[in-house]
Amino acid sequence: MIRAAKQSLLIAAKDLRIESRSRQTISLVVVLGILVVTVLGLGLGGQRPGGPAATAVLWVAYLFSGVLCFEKTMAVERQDGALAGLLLAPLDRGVIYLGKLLSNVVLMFAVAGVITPVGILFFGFDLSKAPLGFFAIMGMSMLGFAAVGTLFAAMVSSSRLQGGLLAMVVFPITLPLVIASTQLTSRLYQGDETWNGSAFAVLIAFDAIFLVVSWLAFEWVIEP
Amino acid sequence: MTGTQYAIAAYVVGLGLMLLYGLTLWVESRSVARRRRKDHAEE
Amino acid sequence: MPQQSNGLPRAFWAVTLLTLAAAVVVLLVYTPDEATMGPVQKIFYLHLPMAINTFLACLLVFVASVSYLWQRSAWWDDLAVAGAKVAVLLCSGVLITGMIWGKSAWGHWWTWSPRLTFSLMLWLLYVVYLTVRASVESGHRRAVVGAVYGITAFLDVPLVWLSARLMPDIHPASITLSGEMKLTLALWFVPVTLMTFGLIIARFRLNRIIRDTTDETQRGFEPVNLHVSEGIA
Repeated sequence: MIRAAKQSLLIAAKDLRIESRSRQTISLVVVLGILVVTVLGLGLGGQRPGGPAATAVLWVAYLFSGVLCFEKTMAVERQDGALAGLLLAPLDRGVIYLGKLLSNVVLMFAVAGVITPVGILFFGFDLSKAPLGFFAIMGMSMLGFAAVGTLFAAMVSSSRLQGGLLAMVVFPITLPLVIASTQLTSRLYQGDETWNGSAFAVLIAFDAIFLVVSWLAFEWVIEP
Repeated sequence: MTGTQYAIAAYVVGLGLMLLYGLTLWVESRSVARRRRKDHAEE
Repeated sequence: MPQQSNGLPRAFWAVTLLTLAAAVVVLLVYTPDEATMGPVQKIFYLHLPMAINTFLACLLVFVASVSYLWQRSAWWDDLAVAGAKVAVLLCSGVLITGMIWGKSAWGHWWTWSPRLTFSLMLWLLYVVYLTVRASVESGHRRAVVGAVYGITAFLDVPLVWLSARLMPDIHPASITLSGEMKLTLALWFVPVTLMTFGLIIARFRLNRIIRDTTDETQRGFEPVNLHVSEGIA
């Protein structure tokens, strides 16, 4: 188990090292996120929507940036037959999945680290009431999103028609995350003390189920 | 529209979807069968 | 018993249509109107059987997907596709009848109520199943992608249901069914379930025939394009 963990970390470290040199993916993804938030800001007519709208705006930005991010971390392996090399190595396929998942999560958190302040700035969101709660909820949601996104990115990366395909595949599956996290944050910001157990259960169940399922299914799905 | 009219509309659409799909399958099976007969006849 | 090319005996379709006719007659003559909602509530007798059958079709897609990954036989892939197409069809019916009911009862064509939201999310899940498959060119790859997605989508269904229940429900509709209503409901399950079964089998048979035909022609090295089974219908 330790060895598997080490191998996953190695794969993630490799990805992130490549990324830190070129900074190609992260700059694209961050810019897209900022653009999405801007479009929403303009579209809402310069108004400053409250609580649940904050989560909604951020979700739209995360969804589109995230999908782009997952596509790119998979596309990296397509260059120079890197994926074939990776598959020939004596690695359990699940380890490749965990490594990819880890790099996706790190990148997504980095992107969120930029987009969230921008959202706060543009929309005047006030997170001070319960910042930890907000970050915990969004963190768990993004983990679930990345779990599924990593699997499906591998699934569609070899097909010819790529534009929008990953987004189309990932969005319906992750809608429960959007609902649960929006409901939880809106409760949080209305100072509602009643604990929304169901919503939290959805988040936890989603993460648990899809981390396991994606990890298992990855080996069927990845191919050079 | 009265409630009854809405109900009728719903049944027409709901049942209609299923029946129409059955119809399209039937039409498709005829064209496939015709194709097979033609292909086999050419051998 | 004479078989049609859809694999089901004529008697099957005859029985289905007869039970449908009987169900319609019972609906018009026997079933009472519900006290608070009036005649529009009768949509329920079609809506619920279609919803249950949608779920069964989705379950079939799941079972066929798992079986495909386990046995790698195209037979299971053809069954999965048939299940998904009928699931989308039925779910469209559930959505539309639900919307009509909502419009009549509450005045809006759409609300983000738990039931409608759930139907929409389920519909999207399986429409995407069909469109993703159509985007993959290699037949073998398409089956694998379809199977993994088919499994994932079904595992998502309980979460979709739970999360849909989180949406605010402005008009909770709780109906208590009288004895006659329960009977009508049970009666309506028969034709709807029979039709679901029949449509799935028919679509499956067509998929098999098309696949066999394509295989034959490929063996004879003649390029024949019979890829009519991918796509929405």
